[in-house]
Amino acid sequence: MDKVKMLFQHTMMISFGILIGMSLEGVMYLNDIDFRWYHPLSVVVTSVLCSIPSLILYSERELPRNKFRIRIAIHFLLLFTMVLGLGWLFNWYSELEGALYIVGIFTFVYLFVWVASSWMGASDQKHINNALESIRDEE
Amino acid sequence: MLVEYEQVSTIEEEKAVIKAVAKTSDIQNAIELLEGNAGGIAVVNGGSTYICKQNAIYYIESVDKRTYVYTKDNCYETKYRLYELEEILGAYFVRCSKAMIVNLRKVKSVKSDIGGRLETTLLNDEEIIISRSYVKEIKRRLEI
Repeated sequence: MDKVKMLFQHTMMISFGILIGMSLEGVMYLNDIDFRWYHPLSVVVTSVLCSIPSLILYSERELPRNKFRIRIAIHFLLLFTMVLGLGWLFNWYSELEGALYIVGIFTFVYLFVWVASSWMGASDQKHINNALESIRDEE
Repeated sequence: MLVEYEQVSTIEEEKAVIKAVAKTSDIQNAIELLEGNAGGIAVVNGGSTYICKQNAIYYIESVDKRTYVYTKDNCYETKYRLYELEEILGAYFVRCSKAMIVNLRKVKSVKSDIGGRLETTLLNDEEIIISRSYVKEIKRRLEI
């Protein structure tokens, strides 16, 4: 159940990230942009497919920090390849400039998700430490 | 000491408030009794069996189907499995990974780490990891 929940959350985050990218592109290029009927569908399909590599980061066992970092690197490269491949398939870009734009947006979204996760972790850390203060034994 | 008793209808409403000038050993014993921390568990070390009080336990770990109880300076073995200890021990004993139970009252601090897990420093400066999937339960126990 945890895996399904995680996949769903990642699908939502990736969809949101792609929509931010498309919105920025729309604002930057205004009337020059060409949105097709299948673009919303492509966002959904890409989000679902790109959430699957998140299973690389999911482990029942506690992974050492180095192993986890290696998995993050593999996850990043896998997603990078998938986004560029699906972008080409769905005609999100046709020239190098478009591909570079996709790369930029992808990197931004990837970093954004990790920063947001770290921020939530820091918030948990603060609340847990405050709560522990009141129950801690004296040694 | 004046003791008041008031009946409530649900477990969630159950609460004990002790007003005292100082936290004497009697008060401490009463707190431990009310929190379900009064009992101990049978542990073995060097062929001898002891009763380890709950408030002496820092964490419990399962290694190769054996269960070890860690106190401030010692390590003991117990016949109990982790799932049994989860039932026996008080509310502040909580699963922090698949193979470990930690006593939250012995946690000095937690630090958020990569991937949502928590690097945890105990009162004896030992470090353990709270896995991401158990953070939610720990927050629930701490009423966050």
